Parts: sequence; structure tokens; C-alpha cells
Amino acid sequence: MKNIYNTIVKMLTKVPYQNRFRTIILVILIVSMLVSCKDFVQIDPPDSEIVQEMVFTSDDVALSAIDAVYHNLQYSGFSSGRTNSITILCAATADILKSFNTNPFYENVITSDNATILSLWSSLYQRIYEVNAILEGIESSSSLSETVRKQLQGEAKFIRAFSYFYLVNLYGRVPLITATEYQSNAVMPQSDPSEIYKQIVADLTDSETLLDNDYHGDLRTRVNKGTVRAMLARVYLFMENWEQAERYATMVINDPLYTLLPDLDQVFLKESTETIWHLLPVDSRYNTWEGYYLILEQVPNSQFSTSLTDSFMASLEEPDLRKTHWIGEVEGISDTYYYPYKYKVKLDSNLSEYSVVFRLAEQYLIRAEARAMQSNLTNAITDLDAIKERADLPLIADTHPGIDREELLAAIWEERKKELFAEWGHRWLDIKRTGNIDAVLSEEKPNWQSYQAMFPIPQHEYLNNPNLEPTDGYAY
Amino acid sequence: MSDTDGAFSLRVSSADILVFSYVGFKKIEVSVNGLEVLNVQMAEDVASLDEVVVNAGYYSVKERERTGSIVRVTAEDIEKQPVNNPLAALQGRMTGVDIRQTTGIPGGGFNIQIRGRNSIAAGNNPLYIVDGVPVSSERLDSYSSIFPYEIGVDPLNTINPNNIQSIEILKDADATAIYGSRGANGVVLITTKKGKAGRTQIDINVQTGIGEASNKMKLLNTEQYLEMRYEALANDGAEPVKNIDPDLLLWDQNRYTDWQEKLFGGAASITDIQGFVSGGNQQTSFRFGGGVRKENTVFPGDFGYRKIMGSLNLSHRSENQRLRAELSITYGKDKNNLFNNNLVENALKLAPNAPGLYDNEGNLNWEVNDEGITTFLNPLAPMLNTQEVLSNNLIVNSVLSYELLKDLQLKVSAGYTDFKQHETILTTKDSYKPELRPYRDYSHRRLNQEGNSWIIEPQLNYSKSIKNSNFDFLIGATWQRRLNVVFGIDAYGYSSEVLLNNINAALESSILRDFQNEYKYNAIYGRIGYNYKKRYFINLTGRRDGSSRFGPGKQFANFGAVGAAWIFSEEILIKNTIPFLSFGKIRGSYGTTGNDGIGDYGFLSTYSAITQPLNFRGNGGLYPTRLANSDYSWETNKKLEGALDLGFIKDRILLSVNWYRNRSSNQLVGYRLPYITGFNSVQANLPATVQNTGWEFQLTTTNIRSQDVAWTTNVNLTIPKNKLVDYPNIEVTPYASTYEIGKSLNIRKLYQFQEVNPETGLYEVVDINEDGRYTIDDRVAIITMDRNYYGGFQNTFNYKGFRVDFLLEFVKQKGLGELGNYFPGFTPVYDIGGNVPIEFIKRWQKSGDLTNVQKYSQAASNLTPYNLARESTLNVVDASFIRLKNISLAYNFQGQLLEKLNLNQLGVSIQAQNLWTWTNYFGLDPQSPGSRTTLPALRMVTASVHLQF
Repeated sequence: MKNIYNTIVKMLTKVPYQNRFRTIILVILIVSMLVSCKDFVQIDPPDSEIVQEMVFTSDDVALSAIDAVYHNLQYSGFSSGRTNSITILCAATADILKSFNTNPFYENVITSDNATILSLWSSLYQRIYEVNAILEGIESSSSLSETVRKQLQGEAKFIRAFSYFYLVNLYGRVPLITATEYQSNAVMPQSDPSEIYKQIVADLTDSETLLDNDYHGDLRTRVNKGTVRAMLARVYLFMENWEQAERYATMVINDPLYTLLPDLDQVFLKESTETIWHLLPVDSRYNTWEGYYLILEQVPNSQFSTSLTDSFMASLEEPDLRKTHWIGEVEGISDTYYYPYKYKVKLDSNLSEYSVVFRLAEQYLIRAEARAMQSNLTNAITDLDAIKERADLPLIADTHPGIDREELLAAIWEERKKELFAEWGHRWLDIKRTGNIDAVLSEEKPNWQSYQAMFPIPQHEYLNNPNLEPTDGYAY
Repeated sequence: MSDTDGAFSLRVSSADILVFSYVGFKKIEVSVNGLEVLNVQMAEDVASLDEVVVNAGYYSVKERERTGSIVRVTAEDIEKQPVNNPLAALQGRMTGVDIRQTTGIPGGGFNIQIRGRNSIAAGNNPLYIVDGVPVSSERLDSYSSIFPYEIGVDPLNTINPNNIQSIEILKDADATAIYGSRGANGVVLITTKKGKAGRTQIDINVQTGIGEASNKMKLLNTEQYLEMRYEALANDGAEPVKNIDPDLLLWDQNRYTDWQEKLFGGAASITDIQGFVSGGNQQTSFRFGGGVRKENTVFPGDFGYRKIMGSLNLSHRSENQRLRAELSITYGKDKNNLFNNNLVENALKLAPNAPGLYDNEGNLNWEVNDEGITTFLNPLAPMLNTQEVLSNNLIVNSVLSYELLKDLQLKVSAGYTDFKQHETILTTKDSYKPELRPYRDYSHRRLNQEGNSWIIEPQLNYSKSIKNSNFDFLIGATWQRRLNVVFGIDAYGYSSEVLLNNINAALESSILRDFQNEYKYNAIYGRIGYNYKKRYFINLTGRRDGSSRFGPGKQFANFGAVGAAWIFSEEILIKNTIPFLSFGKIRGSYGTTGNDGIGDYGFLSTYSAITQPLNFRGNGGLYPTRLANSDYSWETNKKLEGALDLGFIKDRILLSVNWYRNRSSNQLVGYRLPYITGFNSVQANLPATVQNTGWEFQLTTTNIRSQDVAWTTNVNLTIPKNKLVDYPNIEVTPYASTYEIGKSLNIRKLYQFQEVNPETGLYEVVDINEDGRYTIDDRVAIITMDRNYYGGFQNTFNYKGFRVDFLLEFVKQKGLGELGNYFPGFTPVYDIGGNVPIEFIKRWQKSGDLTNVQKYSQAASNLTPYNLARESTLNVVDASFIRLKNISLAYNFQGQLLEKLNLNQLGVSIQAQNLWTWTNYFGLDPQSPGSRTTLPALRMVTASVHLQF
């Protein structure tokens, strides 16, 4: 440095006096130009974003990360109740809904490059990413209170398990992602369903201990211990672990928070005590998307295009209160169209209904099936009759007290269809897990092929992850 | 000194001999001999390479002495084209510059690639510099679908083509390295016109004309269409269904409408008026003025594009010539008023027997059936809505230079740009189908995008000549900052349409977007030029750049280049042995440039607040914004070039041949990811190397040059080749399905088409690996969609005051055909259905038919073979074309008339753009093959008058 200074001074003394001032300016300029300022190109994050580490430094901000997950669950994607949600798509692929529009889901001719199949898949994995990020954020933070930490972990793990449950049931073998690090996630191969179920059970078991019995937040919009148990009952039923399914369903049924409401018209109201978990409709102009999209005010049109299938309508016995309370009808010139009318509000900014994810009736049916599988027929009949009774149907205990196991199971599955129709793809998942899908759908759909029981892994994923196997039967 | 057309007055004695000279013209000596008015026609002097000075950005260089690859279009060529965007004026005129218009709708964007596609996914846009100030080259996103994302609003729209003195495009390392990081994709330098010392002049230019879509497709008529629909039903063993087949059951079976004529067959009028005042003295000169331009569309309704432009140029030098100051301001404001519907696509697919657009009362017709269901989606419905884009663009630059010492100059250039785009979308209930209106709201959406930037560039120049050695030193630095702000608001719940303009009258409103991003850039640069006897040249350029788009520690990189030239025609030996060689130069260059054309903040891991385009209940919350990667850094482009410039017979024949090889590596991409990662991309560097090589030929001949007649011909030809040279382990990356090592980036991997099965009438493609299904492994036909070659052929004839000029643009390429856009037989109620081109009439009809068009069908199950066929070689066609891009006829009045009218100059001209296209391509415009949504380039004819006082 000193050398440079000396050289400059020496040079300056050689410059004629009258030019010296100019030369000094010049030298300063050159030097300042050469000192390129590193700091200049450092920028702050934009005002609209918060650096990740800051999110998990306080309870309030950390909680807003899980708020966004709930918001997204209702607003869009697989869990929204919109036309691209499991509720509508899987009612279409099964024998519940038919459509006025051409839609590959109604004809079971989904292709791997179908945009809806990709949005269904990506919304599931986006929720998984969000909760994985929360779990990692909590892990690396030391400034969160113990209460918030447990609550967040419990909810995040539950939502992860909940998402994987649908992934494994819709797509079969899927990649198991439990961290946010994208380099390894991007090449993650598929895991066997048993591995996925292992993760689901592990997450739910953790969640059960982490979460409180009481609900936090607005009504029942955030999952609690009861929700986890209801989920565990369902998961064990799907895993054919009848004992555990029965055990967890019993815990929920015995929980004083939940009651089977005698009035069908109250089941989907926001204050309903049959609800175990529901989602707050976030768009302030609407109630539930299910109500908005499924209720018909005139014959089906390009937007409100679905109605209940003829076979579903024919399967309902008289009298079934659900037919009069949960099904609506519109008269066309030559045909009558029936639509699911569990949610009564199509379009109203006054909020009276929330979107129900878990409700008690399912737990009765889970326990009925689990008990029947364990040949505990008497108690199974009691559970099934609880549902039948509410629909004002003749009870098995009265009409077929000597029903055999197979007949009873068939009756339970039939009841699941009638009770849980147009909710959360129950029918689609049921006919798959019970092995009845080919029998049921080859009657309903003329071109039914067995491979269609599995949704295709989206082409986008197959092309962007070298380790994925395509789904059998589909073109890529 | 005089202007280009030569008028001036002088006080002389009658015995004097006047000597006329002007840059680019031959010197003429005329004796006055007592005449009051002398008409002197100066011949253009193409031989004067020495006099042509080319703008190279931070410095200027004589055309003769340049070592870099720079092509140039001047005002003369730009002015005679009736275009609203400077880029349109360059099409077909320059080697190595591939410009494609993305739409015929005024205001839409242009695609420009200089020497091919360097980058798999980072920006391939060149750097735009207007009067020394960098202007964003990103096409602006438009929230309304006036211009879909891939078209965008062109950032150069508000630059007035009539105010451009020259456009220089810098291509090779020697020319672009001084722009360092930003020069990887080439540099476009736009220089506006400046005032000249001399008499004050007023220039007025008025232009008016009309345009129409340059092409239409031949589609089925009603009879053929109904035949298709009934045959499809019969093939599928189906009957028409009430809600699905209104074209058969409800609509008039004899009605016929030419929807192309109705929906985009109109005439678009163009009016353009410009006025400029210029003048000055030896010390100060000025030029200011402006213009207005109005263009309507070929669509029905009162929609269009208008703009106002103004500019001011001032320059001053001190009496002792040591201080110079220049100021230039350009301002443009444009307004685009369009509707959100693609009428081109509608026109092609509407059933020819579809009902009328209006009912008897003059309201839009929806052809509602007896159950209240709309059977005709009226294409004009979106016209009831308002969609308006207003933009303002201000560019200011000032340059101060001062001679500190002899041969040493300090120059400081400071620039500022301010860009605003305001978009308003008003949606009325009536634009929806009647049965859906109860569920719809009136809504008002506004989106404002604003950006401003400043740049300061101090610079020192030092030139020194010692005997035969000449040195030029240049050293400088750049500081630049750009800030973009996007803010949008959604308002809905209006009780009536009349209140729609006012956001306050809405029941509810919410923030649609609120975002800002900042970009900072800093560099130092230097250049050393040395030549010996103006015969041997060598240039060294270096630059160190830092960009805020990269994470800590990755921001800075070095770039540099070396260029050399040898004017061998100056060697005595050559002068003596090849006397007809008037000019000969060999030049070459090698160097590196960079690219940071990616989004900001990709290295930051952050959370954002939930913003849905709605008011929401609940707590909203924070969600992860992106996957962050702090490791990526500069993309680099290594450029190598060799060139030979020759002039024969006193430069009457000029030939320039360039060969180049650009290798771009460390590719910046939004690396594709499967959604299982939570996102579908992350900013990263790809280890890929992409190579662009090519030959460029430019031949200019002066065929006739005499007192009254001149004829020059200009031919340019570019033969580019793009290749992915290297990408380690590509087979385990997401790019394996798209790219192939050794092949171009612009390939399509397709199935091999087999036949239309003569028994079933369905398309069949080859299952190469015979595994019983079609996957990426069966897509073995690799077709490149690159241009094989392209160029232009231009001729200019001058006879006295007349001038005729035409330009043919030619392109050799393959493209996607029309097959993929149509599924013949489907009902028009569905997106894929409706009318089809006449080509489909060759369909399979009965067992044993041999054809390559699948049978008519309306069954979803037959979509599968159709989808395979559109991704097969069947759908690749020759999309080459020759287009009469521009033809102009001009006459400049001379002599008495001018004097009578007290005019300095009077010129009239007729210009036509895209007058004719020769092609075998069947679709609307071979410029965008495979698209049924793009309005073909307009055929425009305009007349203009130029007056100078």
C-alpha cells in the first residue's frame, strides 16, 4: 500500500504545477473506480417476505405457518371440495356422480398427462412440504414455548399422515418424503404401501400424544387428539388391523365431545357435534365448495355439471331419510336430476356450514366393520343399526338378526356408500380396499378396465424424477 | 455541411466553384456560373468505409477498423417500414439475428435471439441499451389475457422507430465483452437522432394506411361439417344428445358463416403523425419533437392501440472544445384496449352453422335451449368487459465529458429510466352465460407494475499515438440499481354495472399482489486498443461484474476478450498483385461474457403471507415462498469468431463472411423438479454446455451507379447450428426427456408414426421397444425445430427522385402441423371439438381405406390414438417460407415545386409490409407453426408524406 502511495506522490511531483489539481482528482477517481464495492450488490429480502429462520423465533409467527396449511387445505387442491378435489373426483371415478361435461374422471379414462391428476398429486405433496418445513423449523428453533411446539408438531404430523393416506390409496406406491431437502427428494424412489402406512401410523401415534383433547381456535377447525384417533381408526381399518381399528373407533365414539345427531339437517352445520374435524371456508363470498359445486338450482350446465348416478338413486330404499334430507332434485323437461344436498348453502357470505372432514358416523361404521371382521356380529349390528336408525330404516337387529358375517359386511359396505356418499372419496376407496371394484364398476361403466383402479403417477413426475416407475396400464 | 438530402443556401460569387462533400457520399465539384439554384445529386459513396462510424457502446469505431462483429441498420431502412416496434424493422435485415413476431396484435412482444439459443432456461434476451441506458428486455407480464404470458407486452413499444438514428447489434466476444455479464446473448444498441449544427429545420411526417390478417385457413363448410359430425356419431354407434350436440339438434342446418371473416377479417387502420424541430450552431445543437400513432385491430368492435412519443436531444460543447455535454430524453406513453378472448382460435373452431352473434333485439345471442342452458358460447361476450393497459416509459441520459489533459478524457454517463404499466380489467355479469350470472360478480381488477432504475458510469479515455503506433485506453465503472414494484387489487360485489369504474363502490376488495424486487449491479471495466499503421489491430477488453441475483460469495465474476484484425489490402504486395481488391480484412476474437438473466432472490429461503385473489376468513398465514439454493452463480458464454471482410472494384462489391462458435456453460435454470419436492423448480446452474455455431454471409453490391441511376443489392444469409455438447449424467436428470446430447435444444422427441390402421381407422404409432405401452422410450424420432437457414434479399433502385426498395425474408425450417389442434368429429360444446381444416376430409371411412387421417369420431376413447399421433412424426411439416417483408416506393420532389411551396424537402411514399408469403405450410402463419391461437402478421399498406421546412 505504501509503495503505491509513494509512486503516486512521485508521479504527481512530475506533473506541472498548474495541472496538479486536475491530476489529483483524476487519481482519486481511478482509485475509487478500482475499489469496486462488494456491499453495493448485497440486497435485503423484499418487504413482502420473511426469512425462514425468523418465522420460528416466536410463537405467534410460527403458528401462522400452520394457519397457512389449514388455509390451503380448504382453499384449493385435494382437500378443498372443489371440482378437482378428492370429494368430487373420486365420487366421479366411483359410482356416485355422473357429469354433463366430458371429463376423463367420469369415464375412468384418465391419462398420465392429465392436468387434474397432477394438481391432485401436487397439492398433496405441497401440503407435505409445508408441514415438513414446519417440523424442521421447530426442530432448529430454541425460542418456541413448549405448548406451541407440541401443538405444531402434533398438527404437522397429523396433516402429513392424512396426506399420505390419500396418496397411498389413490396412487399406490408413492415416494415417501419426510424432509425438505430438495436434492434427495427430487430423486426419491417409490416406497411400498406398507412403508407408507408405517410412516402414517408413526406420525399419528406421535400426534396422539402431542395434541390436546380440547380444540384450539375456531370451533373444530384445528385437529385435536380426537381427530387423530378417528384417523387412526380409519388407517387401521385400511390396514386390516381390526382390533386397533375397533379400539380407536371406540375411543372416539365414547368421547363426550361427539354425538350422532338425530336430525340429518344439522349434521353439516358449523356447530354440529357430530363433527370431529372441519375446515373453515376461507373465501368470504362462499360457504363450502362442496355446497357451491354440487347443489343444482337448474338442470346441470357447463359449470354445475354433476348429478347422482341412476344406480346410486336406485340403491336407496324407501323410506330412507337421507333421500329426502341429503338429496335434492331439479326437474328438466324430460329428466329429473338428483344432487347431493348434505350442504345446504350454495352461495352466501353468511357462514353456516364448514367443510366436514371427519364425522362420528364414519366411526360407527368403522367399528361395525372391525367387529364383524372379528366375528363380533352382535355388536357390529348394533353399530350399523345406529346409522340405519337415524335414516329411519328397518334395523338389522329386527329384520335379519341371524345375518351371517359376509352378508353383514356387505350390508356395512352398502351402508357406507349411502351414508358417506359424495364425501371424501369414501366410496372409491372402499370398493378398492374390499376388492369389489371390478364387480361394481364393470356394471356401472361399459369400458371399465382393472388397471383404472389406480390413478396414474403424473407424467410430470415420471419425467422429472428418474427413479419413478410408471403406473401399470398407462401411457407415458 | 448539409443534411442527407442536401438542401441549403449559400452566398457565393458566380465564378466560385462549390465543393460538396458529405459523409457517405462522393465529393462533387460544381461551378456556380451565375445560377441561383443549383441542383446537385450526390452519389452515395459505399467505398467510404473509412467514414462510417459504428457505435460499439462505450466507444465508437470506424467501420473499417472494427475488430468485433457488429451489424447495423440505420434510419434510412427503419423509416420506410410502417412498424410500431423497432424490432419489427430489423426482421430479415441482419445476419445472425433471428426475430419473430409473436402476434399480429399491435403492442405484442417480439422474440429476438442473437446467434441462437444459448441457455436452456435463463433469459435468452439480449441486452437493450437506449442512448447508453440499459432498458429491461423482459417482456412484461400482462395480468389480463390481452397478451398471454408467452407473448407479453414488448418493452420497446414506447420507443419511437422514427426517432432512431441507428440500431447496432453486437454479436461476438470482442464487441460484447465490455458489457460483461449482460452481453452473453448479444447487445442491441439503439441510438436516437441528434440535432445538427446549421439552419433550423422542421420535419413533418404523416403516414396512414390499413392492415389485414395476412392469411386465413380453408375450413369445412356447413355441408361438410354436418357430414363429419353425423359420420362421427355413426362410427361410434351413438345418437345425438340434447345438451351435447346442439349443432345437430338445435341449430339451423343450412346456416353458414365464415367465422374467420367475421371475427378477424376486418381492416385495421393505422395513422401516424410525427414532427421534429432541429438545429443549432457550432457549440449547441438540439432536436426535439414527437408523434402520435393510432392502430385499430382486425377484430370487430372499437379496440386498438395508440401511443404518444416525445423526445429531446441537446448537445453542447464549450468554446475551447474541452467540455461536452449531452442530454437525451425519450418518453413514450401507450394505451392498449383489447378484450380477453382469442378470436382467432374461436374463428377456427366455431361450427359453420353456429347461430348469429346477435339476437333480434341486438343483444348478444347465447342460443339458450328450452331448459335454460346456453348452447352457443358467444365469442364476442368478453367484449362487454373492459381491458386496458396503459404504459409510460421515460428514459433520460446525460453524458458529460471533459478533457482533463491532452488526449485524456473523463466522461460520466448517468441515466435514469422510469417505467409504469397500469392495467384495468372490468368484468360485467353480462359477459357470462345467462345461467351462470346468478353465481358471478361484477369485478374490478387493477394491476400496477412500476420500475425505475438508475445507472452511473464514469469512464476515462486516453489516446496516444507514437509514430505508427496508436493506443486507446479506456477504463470505467458501472453502478446500476433497479427497483420493480407490483401492486394489484381486486374489487367485487358491485350492485350495478354503472358503478364498476369506482373501486370504492365495491362491497369487498382485496390485495391481489404486493411485491417488489430489487436488482443491483456493479462492475469495473477496461479496454486497450492498439494498432500499428492502422493496419494491424489488437484489442483487449476486461470486466469484473457483480450482481445481486447471486447469493453471498457468488456475486462477482470476471469476463474478458481479445480481438484482432489485419487489413491486408493495405500491404504493398497485395495492392500490387490483386489490384481489384479494394479492401481486405481478416479479423477474429475470443472471449467470455456472462448471463444473470434470472429472477431475483432465488438464493433466499423465505416465507410469504397468503395472498389469494380473494378476501378470506381465518388467519391467512405464512407459507414457504420457494426452494432456495445459495450455490448458483454466473452463466458464462465463451465466444469465438473468425471473419473475412472483402471489398472489390472500389468497394462496389462488399462481402463479409463470419464464422462463430459460442459455448455457453454453467447454465442458469429454474431446475425442473418433481412436485414431491413441494415445488416444480429451483434456481440452479446446470452442468450443460450448449454450443451455437454458424456461418453468416453478407453481400452488398452496387450494380449500377451513375448520375441518375443507382441500384444496390443486399443479401444476407445465416446458417446456424445449435447443439447440446455436453451434459454429464443427463439420463438421470429431468432433462433426459427433452434434450439429447449432440442435438439441438430445439428438438422434439416424437413417436414414429406408423399408419391409420386400415381396419379400425385409428392412428397407430410405433411401439419401438414392444413393451405394449407408449412411454418416453418410444419417442425415438428426434426432430429439430431450428431454422436451418434464414436471411434476406434486398434491392434498392434509385432513379432521379424515385426510389424503389424491397426486402424478401426467407426461412428454411420444420414446424408442427395443424393436426394436433383438431379432433375431427367432436361436438363444438367441448374445447377440442368444432370445425376443422379442409385437410381432414381425407379421413378414413371404411375398412381398407389407406389414408393418414383418422376416422371421424366423437368418443373420448379415440382420443388416445389421436394424442399419440399428434406427438408423432405425422405432425411435423415443412414450415419454410419466403415473405415479401417490405416494399416501398418513394419519390422526392425536386426543383421548382419545392421553392414554390417554400419547402426544403417534399417526399411521398407508399410502403407495404408482409405483402406476400410463399409457403407450403398449411396453418395461419409459418412464423408460429402449430399455433391456432396466433393472429398472423398483418399485411399492411401505408402511404406517407414527408415535409421539411
